[in-house]
Amino acid sequence: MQRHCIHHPQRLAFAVCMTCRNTVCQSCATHWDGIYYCTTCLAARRTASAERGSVAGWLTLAAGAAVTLWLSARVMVWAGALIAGLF
Amino acid sequence: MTRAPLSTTSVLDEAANVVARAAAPWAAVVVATSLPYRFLQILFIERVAELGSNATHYGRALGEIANLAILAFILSRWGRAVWARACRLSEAEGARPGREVWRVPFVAFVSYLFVAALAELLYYATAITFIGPIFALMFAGLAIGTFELNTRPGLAAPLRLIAHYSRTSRQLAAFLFVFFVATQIAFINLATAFNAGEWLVHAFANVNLVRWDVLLSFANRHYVLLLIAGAVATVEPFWIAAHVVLVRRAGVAETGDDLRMWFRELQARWAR
Repeated sequence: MQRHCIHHPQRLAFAVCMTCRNTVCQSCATHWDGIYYCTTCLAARRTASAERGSVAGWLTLAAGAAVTLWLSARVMVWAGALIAGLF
Repeated sequence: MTRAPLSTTSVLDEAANVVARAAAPWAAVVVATSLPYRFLQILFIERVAELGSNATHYGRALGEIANLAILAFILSRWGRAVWARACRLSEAEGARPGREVWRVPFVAFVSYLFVAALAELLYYATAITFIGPIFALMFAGLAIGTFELNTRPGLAAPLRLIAHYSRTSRQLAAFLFVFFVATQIAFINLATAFNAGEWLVHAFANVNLVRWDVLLSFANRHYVLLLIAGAVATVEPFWIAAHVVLVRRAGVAETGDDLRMWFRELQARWAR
């Protein structure tokens, strides 16, 4: 298994970028928050963090979480009543 | 380089080390935040048991307790997220994590809240089937294990992550068995501790314990439910740590950890 850095073909790979899955050497890899990233993906990640994701994504996620939580409470009562009725 | 197969025992060993490093003070967060939710669950079960077949006529009263339980559920999932982050940082750095544990990424937490609520929904909806809760628990384990990998808001991404790591189903099933046994052992230990305390008070303090005999007996449903909640709270930090380590180890090839180990091995060989 001889992998090389995508930016420096003469150097042996040190890590795999978690985002693009490319192998990178020690100088191209950045260990951030416990995970390795290549410089390009780290820059993209920082930009994405600044944008805080798309509005549509946030709305969908918040609505999905709220609806699932509400349904959980209803199903909890339904399951409780159903099981109590059985015994 | 031959990659060692992912074994359940090695993951559990690593999880035990992670818990030992991160437990003080971070395990307190997960235990303290889960207590309100556990108490409300006990209250709900007690009310349902008292009502019996009349429970269907008290939907509004039960619904109020369920609503409070779901609010407490949000708090308990935040505590789990903090603890999972502490475990991951502890494993990555090999040391006790610092204040950076509090900085739980908001998008990761909301994504986790969604999948955790989905797991809870599955659990209650399939509670009567016995097999359904098993899958719900495996789903919940992967949800906490993968929660920090969510970097963008959306409904599909956290589910895709869980589907991706569900290839570790053998280890997940083994965890269920191990933690089921561990919960029972914790239950027995807690019951023994209470009985030993009662016996010591009776032996040395000459206190009338008739009332406590009734309260601390298995005939008292409230006491049994509290013991179960205590056993679950005891085992919960280990369960979360095991899933965090499992996801980390399963994704080791993708994150480059195996390459890093291989590189260190080559460096050591060249140095000789």
